[in-house]
Amino acid sequence: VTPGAWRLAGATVCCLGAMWCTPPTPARIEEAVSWLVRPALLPFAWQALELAQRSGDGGEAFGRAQQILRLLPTWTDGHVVFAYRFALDGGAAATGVDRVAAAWQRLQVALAWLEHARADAGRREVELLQAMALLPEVATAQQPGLAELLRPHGGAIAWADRYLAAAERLTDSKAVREQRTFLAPWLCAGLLASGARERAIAVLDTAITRAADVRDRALAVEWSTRLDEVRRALRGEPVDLTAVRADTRFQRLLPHLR
Amino acid sequence: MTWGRGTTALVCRHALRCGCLPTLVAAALALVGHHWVPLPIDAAPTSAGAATAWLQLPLCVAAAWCTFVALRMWPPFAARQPGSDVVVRQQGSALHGCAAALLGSCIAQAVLMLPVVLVLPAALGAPAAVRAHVAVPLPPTPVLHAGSPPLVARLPDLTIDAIVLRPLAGMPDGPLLASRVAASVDGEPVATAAEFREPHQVAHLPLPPARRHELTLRLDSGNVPLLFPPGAVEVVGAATHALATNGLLLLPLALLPGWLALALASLVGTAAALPTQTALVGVVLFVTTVGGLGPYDDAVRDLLRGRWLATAGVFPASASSLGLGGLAMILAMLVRRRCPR
Repeated sequence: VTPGAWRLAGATVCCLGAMWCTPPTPARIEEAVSWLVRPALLPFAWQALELAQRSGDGGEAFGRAQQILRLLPTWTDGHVVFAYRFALDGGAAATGVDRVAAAWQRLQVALAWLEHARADAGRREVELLQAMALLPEVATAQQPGLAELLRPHGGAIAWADRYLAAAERLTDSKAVREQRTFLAPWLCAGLLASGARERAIAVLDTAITRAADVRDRALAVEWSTRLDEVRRALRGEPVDLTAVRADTRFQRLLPHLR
Repeated sequence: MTWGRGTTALVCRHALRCGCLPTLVAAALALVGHHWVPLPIDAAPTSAGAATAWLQLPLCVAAAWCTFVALRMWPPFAARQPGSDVVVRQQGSALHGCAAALLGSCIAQAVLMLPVVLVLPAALGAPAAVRAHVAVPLPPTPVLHAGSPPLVARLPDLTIDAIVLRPLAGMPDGPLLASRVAASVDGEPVATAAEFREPHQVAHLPLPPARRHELTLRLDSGNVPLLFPPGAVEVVGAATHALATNGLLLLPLALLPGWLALALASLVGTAAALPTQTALVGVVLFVTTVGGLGPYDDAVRDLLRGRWLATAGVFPASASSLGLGGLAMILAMLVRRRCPR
């Protein structure tokens, strides 16, 4: 028996042992393949997304974003930001009824997308649910005609309640409801990184409204004041950002504020 | 030298024999992959542009297979190949038969790719009606902001029925007021105005179909500065073309990577052995297909987006690849003449 044969036999035994310890399932095989091809595919996937945004249409950019997130299924920030961008995209839709219908369809698709992402969100599922709870309100504020379409389903508040109830079940805490306003800097930073300033302002508008949910009144007032300062800065109004810069909760937003 | 026994025919036949099954498998994989492994949420009917990888897969397999077959089959493509001396002595041509082998490889690629470019785009959801999208060349400083002069551009000689604007938006010069752009064509104002607040916003301005000559863009109101980089203003042709015809236009562009790789191999092969040549051809194929260098990647994307390739600018963009390949072959002729085996 040659040394090569011993090595081959040893490798075979090791492989069989590994398969016995961790039996391969389709999900694990998919994860392993994804792990292997990810470094090779991601640079091209990002480049394709940039091109889709620069010269393609909304559907293409959406498809490219999904391809990236299929490679990175546990990247909750990415899921939320891409879904928000898609849902709040004014797009090239016509005015009036068509525009509202398109916004309605985009909202449903974005929520379905985030629902799909819940399976891989792990310990960040609560944040994902909070972001889902905020989205119908932001969309309604941005596209007022949506409120009529949401009314038969209980309105934006009822939709939000559904997701917040799920988050409360996960955490066994009532604080989830009031915490969602604090997601605003995270959501805005993601939107601003892609140049979606108007959509970031829409998120801030809703977060300022939701700051009223915070039971600690002093904190609520301080938080809504900070958010308003950021909003005014994004609108190009002259505003003193010293307090925002000193607040670590806004650190992710600072590169986007001048 | 007859067709049946010439270098071109030999390489072509061998490449077809070797490349047929892998291309077929790749095309089947592309179809299965697109339809059975869909995106998690299939939202918009216009997302065929996101499926470029599935069209590239069989095209790249056909190009790679035929190119590598020619490289390995024809000894003068690499230095110190067994049988090279015999071939060189028998070949009277300046490139020792490399040009004929290259031609054979290209014919085989064309045969393998033809059904792919005719059938697969439709199966991947590319729009059946293909329209010309032509970029409008703008003045040297294509910026619109408060106080800036209007942008005046000459329109291509084409019957158009829409203008597409996708400017980059800067930070506002004060409290945010969306910039409203008024367009006029040949002095007549376009009915729809476009508003922009942030980058990546797109405005489609429909027009009655006609030949137009001059486009003027003026900032009506707002304080968001708008920059129009190349391609930010496009006109859409009124005429529609068949998807299959557009697929045929892709064919010569899809042959370009393989042609360039073998043209460079014919030059480098005067000194480099087969492993180096294999690496060179692999790298050239990779950067010109998946890597996006050259017109091939853009052409595949435009085909799936339903844009007429004849006016998309991909053919002028292939001049550099053609020039580089041609130069490599001329240099190869000179080098091979100076250093006979």
